[in-house]
Amino acid sequence: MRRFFYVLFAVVEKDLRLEWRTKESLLVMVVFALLVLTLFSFAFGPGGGSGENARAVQAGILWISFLFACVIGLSRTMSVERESAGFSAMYLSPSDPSALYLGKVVSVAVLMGIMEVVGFAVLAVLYQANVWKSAGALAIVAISATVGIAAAGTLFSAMSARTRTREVLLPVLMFPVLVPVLIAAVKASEAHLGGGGWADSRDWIRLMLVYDVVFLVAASLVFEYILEE
Amino acid sequence: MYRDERGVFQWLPVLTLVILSFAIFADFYIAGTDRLQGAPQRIFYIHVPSAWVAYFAFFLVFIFSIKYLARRNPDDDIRAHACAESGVVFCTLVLITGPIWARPVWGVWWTWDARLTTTLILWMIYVGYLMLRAYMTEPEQRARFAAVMGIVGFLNVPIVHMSVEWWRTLHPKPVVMRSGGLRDLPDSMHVALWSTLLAFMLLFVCFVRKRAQIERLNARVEEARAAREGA
Repeated sequence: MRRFFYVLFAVVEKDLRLEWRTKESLLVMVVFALLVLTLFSFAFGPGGGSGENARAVQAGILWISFLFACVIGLSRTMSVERESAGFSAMYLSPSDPSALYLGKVVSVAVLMGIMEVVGFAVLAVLYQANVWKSAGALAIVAISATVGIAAAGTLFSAMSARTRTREVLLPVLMFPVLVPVLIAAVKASEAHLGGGGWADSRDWIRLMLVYDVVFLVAASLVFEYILEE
Repeated sequence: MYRDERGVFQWLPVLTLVILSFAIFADFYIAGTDRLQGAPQRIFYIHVPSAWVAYFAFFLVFIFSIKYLARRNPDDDIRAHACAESGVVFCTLVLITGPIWARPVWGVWWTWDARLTTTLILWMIYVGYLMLRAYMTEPEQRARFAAVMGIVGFLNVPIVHMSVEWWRTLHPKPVVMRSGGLRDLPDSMHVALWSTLLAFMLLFVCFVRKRAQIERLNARVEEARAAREGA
């Protein structure tokens, strides 16, 4: 068990150190999320339209931009692994494949978390959204969604990175599978952006937690078949 | 000519054709016209069996994927592939017949009802599965990745269904069947429904067998080519 966590944290440390030195993935993720948030205000009008619907539009814009930015970040981290034969090295090392997988998930989730903080701040400024008033609740929503997105994203990007077309396939594999998380994250964020309480978002958060657990367990079990050469 | 079909299975396509002809006859002439929906209701006999066959096919993909990872028999991978492809055919049929039926009955081509949406997402997941296969060249690796996709994709189905159902609870639900479920169907409609289901199941088995046979031949061609290049 100690060895499991040792491997897990080694992967996280390696990924975050690499990111700290190059700042390649995070920068492109943040800029891309910003760009999508801006572009959507041209599509839906400033502030995401008017009236009751504006909160729903804002929540939708937010999570779609995070999902898109996440695809870009994942492609980047996985192509680094591929270019430096990281997968082969992982496979040759005598460590548990599920620890390697969970380490990757944690580092992807950390990067996404940083991007999301910027995203929420931009939403508050550009769309006059009530982010501060329910910051704690939104953080819980964001964490439960991010774990699910990172869990699915890591598994599918490890697969798509080794296809003939490289990263092109990632969204095609990942988005349909992430539909429950997207629905739940948008609905729960919408409730809290509109000043709603826990009663409105509790079921959605539970759904995301179930998804997170199911996906993390299933993907940890099958990850060794992805690493295998 | 290369053949690997012997015995009973040789006659399967013929049997399927006979039952399919009967089923089409039953759908149009034996089953009575629905009093409320009229003729469009007959799409039900194509639509519902296709959906059942598609869901069954994706379940088989899940089973063969697990079997492949456990035993590493390339034949299980071929079967999973054949089931996924045939399943997508039937799932496409569901998504095409659905709107044709919905338009005259509900007045809209599409409604974001839980069952419809789940079927659409399911279709996308398995189209992704087939694309993943198409974009990979190394057979052993392709088999492993596809098996992972087949397992994870299927595990996801109940969660997708639940989330879409909750998503739609605030909105009025369309009445999928005006009668009180299958038990209320008259006998003539039962004949049409079950004969079509049987015909589609047999058709599915024919597709899977043919597809698997073609894949096995492909594998042999690949082997022969590799051997020749090696020599």
